[in-house]
Amino acid sequence: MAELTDLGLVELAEAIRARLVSSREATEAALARARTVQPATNAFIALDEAGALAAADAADRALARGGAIGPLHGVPLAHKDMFFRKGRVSGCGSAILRDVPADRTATVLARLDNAGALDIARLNMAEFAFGPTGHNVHYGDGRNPWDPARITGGSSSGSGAAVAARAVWGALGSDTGGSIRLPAALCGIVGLKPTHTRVSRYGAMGLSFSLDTIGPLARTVRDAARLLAAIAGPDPCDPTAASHPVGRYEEAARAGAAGGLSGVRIGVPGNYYGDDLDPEIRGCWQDGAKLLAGLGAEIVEVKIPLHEHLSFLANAIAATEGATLHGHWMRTRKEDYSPQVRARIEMGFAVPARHYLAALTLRPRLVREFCDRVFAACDALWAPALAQPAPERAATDFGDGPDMVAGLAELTRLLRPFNYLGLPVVALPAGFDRNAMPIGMQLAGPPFAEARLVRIAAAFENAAGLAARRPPL
Amino acid sequence: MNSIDPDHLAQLVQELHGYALDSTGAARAAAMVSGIAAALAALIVEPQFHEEPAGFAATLAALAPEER
Repeated sequence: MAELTDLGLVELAEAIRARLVSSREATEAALARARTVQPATNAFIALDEAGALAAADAADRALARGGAIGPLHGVPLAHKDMFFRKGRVSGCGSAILRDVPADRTATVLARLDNAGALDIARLNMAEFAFGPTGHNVHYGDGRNPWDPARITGGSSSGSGAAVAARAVWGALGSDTGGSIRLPAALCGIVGLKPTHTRVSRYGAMGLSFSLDTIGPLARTVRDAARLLAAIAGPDPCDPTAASHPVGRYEEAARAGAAGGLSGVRIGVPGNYYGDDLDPEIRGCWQDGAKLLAGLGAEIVEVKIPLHEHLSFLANAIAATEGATLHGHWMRTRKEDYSPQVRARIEMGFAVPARHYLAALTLRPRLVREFCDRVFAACDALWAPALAQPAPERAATDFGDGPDMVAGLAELTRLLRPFNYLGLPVVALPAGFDRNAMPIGMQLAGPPFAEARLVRIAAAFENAAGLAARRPPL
Repeated sequence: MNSIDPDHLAQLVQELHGYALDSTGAARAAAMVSGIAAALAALIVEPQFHEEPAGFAATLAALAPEER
């Protein structure tokens, strides 16, 4: 058997189920790996070693008793430090919540618990999830396991780094403006941003309730599919959680990896996503389309409507809701925010109510127009996640300086429109650049078509053969 | 494009929200609001539009393909 930490999540879960590996062995391997990679990555805020081993032993005892076990039984996971567990601190990357224990448990954590997963650590993140780079003045910057001088992407910085560094088998993140997809793309792993409200937000830190979406980061598409299946679905605690039937995601991943893409139409945007692309990113994007065509997919060029405006509308919503959620602390504890996060939140105080409501009111019409035009022509869109190679941390340490607004906007330019539209997207590795850094692409689809995206992504992943590459840590 | 007076905006924010924007913050906010206004002006083509924001969830469900 390969080194334990090189196994995928599904492989490990099946090995534990078959009692080829104990949960304790897996957990000890994860903890050792976490200790090894932490100095380079700063992915972990807190590692609960004693609790993790106790939970692993309990999982092994349960398995020995022969009772029913869940699909993630005994598998060590860790999550962005914004999913509350009653009685435990979740600092949300902030100074303000650094020592505040939670009064509730997030539905997503409860569901992973029920599936048998272990929650062994709290992972680093951007302060209050404001920030696409992974910088954090309170807990230290997240650092990319492929090259610690480069950004992990954010805001789910620790989730991207810990999973890519083989320290945990999967992690939850949240995506309000690209915060699952960007770390996945930059760290060379899979990030699945589901349809807005596909996953309950109860007990998760809010940033922008109209845009916040929770989803998994994992090493393979199938791993992400299993995690999504465990957390998706309606929730009595979250009245906004969609009641739409949960898809058979893992079955779709298996089908994708085993079969081709005959009959599938892949849309390649003829505008917006190709603007100002680094040549290497463009080449990787085009090579990926050729690989999809080689799998039997029909490649069609599609015109993307309205995208140049959507980031502004997403900003109107995120800024207003962010300022609303943080209004009290911004007035009473202004100095406890980093300069950049304070500068970003305070802009929301200036958005007129009519603009905010207009941005929300336009949303049904615009997503309808987008789907009618784009998904009439194709089954899924193939697009780059980031227009440039993985930036260095020093070059993106904007603080609240004059380059901050434009610099951050450029990092999320290709990601944010899908948050406004609420559509599902899978980010996945598609190649490596001249600096041996991962290049990520996006597959986007119509609402609740996660299974379709997973099938296509798994086919691509299988053909590309990149999932086994690991960072040099 | 930026026709919003940052000083006036800062004054409104102070009066409405009790928060003091400095001159840099006011300029940033004014630029953002101008961008939002331009995007809305480009997208709102009719004098009235009456889709409630709450309809977004139903719209997503209605647009979902029949597959699992």
